[in-house]
Amino acid sequence: MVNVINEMNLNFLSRSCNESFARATIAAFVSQLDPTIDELSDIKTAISEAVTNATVHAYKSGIGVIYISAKLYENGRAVIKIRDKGCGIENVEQAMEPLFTTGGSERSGLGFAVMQSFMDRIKVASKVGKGTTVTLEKYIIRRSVGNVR
Amino acid sequence: MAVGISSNDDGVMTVFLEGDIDHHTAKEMREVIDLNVNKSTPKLLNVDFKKIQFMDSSGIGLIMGRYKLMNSIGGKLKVINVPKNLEKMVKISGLMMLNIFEDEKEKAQENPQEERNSKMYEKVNKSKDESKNENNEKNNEENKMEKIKKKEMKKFKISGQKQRFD
Repeated sequence: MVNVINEMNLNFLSRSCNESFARATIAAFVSQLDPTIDELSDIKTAISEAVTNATVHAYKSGIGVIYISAKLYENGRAVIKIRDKGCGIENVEQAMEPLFTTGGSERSGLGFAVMQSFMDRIKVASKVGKGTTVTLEKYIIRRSVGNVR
Repeated sequence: MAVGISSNDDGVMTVFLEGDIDHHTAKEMREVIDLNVNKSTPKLLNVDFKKIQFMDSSGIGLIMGRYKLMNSIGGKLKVINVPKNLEKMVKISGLMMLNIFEDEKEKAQENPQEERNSKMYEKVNKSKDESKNENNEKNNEENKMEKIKKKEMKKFKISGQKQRFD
């Protein structure tokens, strides 16, 4: 059993200006595991994609609340959940296909593909009309003892 | 302002982007670029990524959209100076196939003269590090470097345009 060494929760409105707030906050929290700049950049990118999805798709008809929780484990694992109570995804498999987008020509349709390749594991749970939860996981290679512990 | 624009009489417009590109900032960048492109319909649009610190897939959308825009007015798009930390995103996107990426290093390899210059630049850079302890000298070196840098930038720009119009 691997112990949780730290935990956080963050709720904020689905305004697009909060995308940078969300990724910077999570990055600052995960920094406790002493990640490399590349690892941190991967996490920031994946968070940005997930929060953008919630802003653009889940709450497309208005403003809602985005809930992020993050847990850091003793073995260097970071687990980040991005949850919304928006419209939900009808076909998760299709939504996760690279280049699939409902966002028009300015959206690349790469959101989930980026999350998949920048993180070690991704899980998407969604219910139409209820909302979506994206769980992202990354192992930070322990080079030295971090700030916590 | 996160977007700077310069254009010349030869129909070359260069857009300098700065900061982070996400869904929020991409909107502003897109609006400024499109307004200027539609106004002066350049033959070549350079988008400079040198000062971009972070980019998610919105940056890819931004590039794709400008590619289409330039195609629609019969012009070309070049994306220049993409920092190393953004390469992973560019590779995933498959945009490499469009052959729109260019950087100063590549240009230097194409032209031996430029390569010599960039080596000279490295040397100056090195000597700057060595004089770290002496403040006055450091300032002098920095000024020198800035001058050389500017000179080089000019050369790169000129040679780049030549190559494009050949």
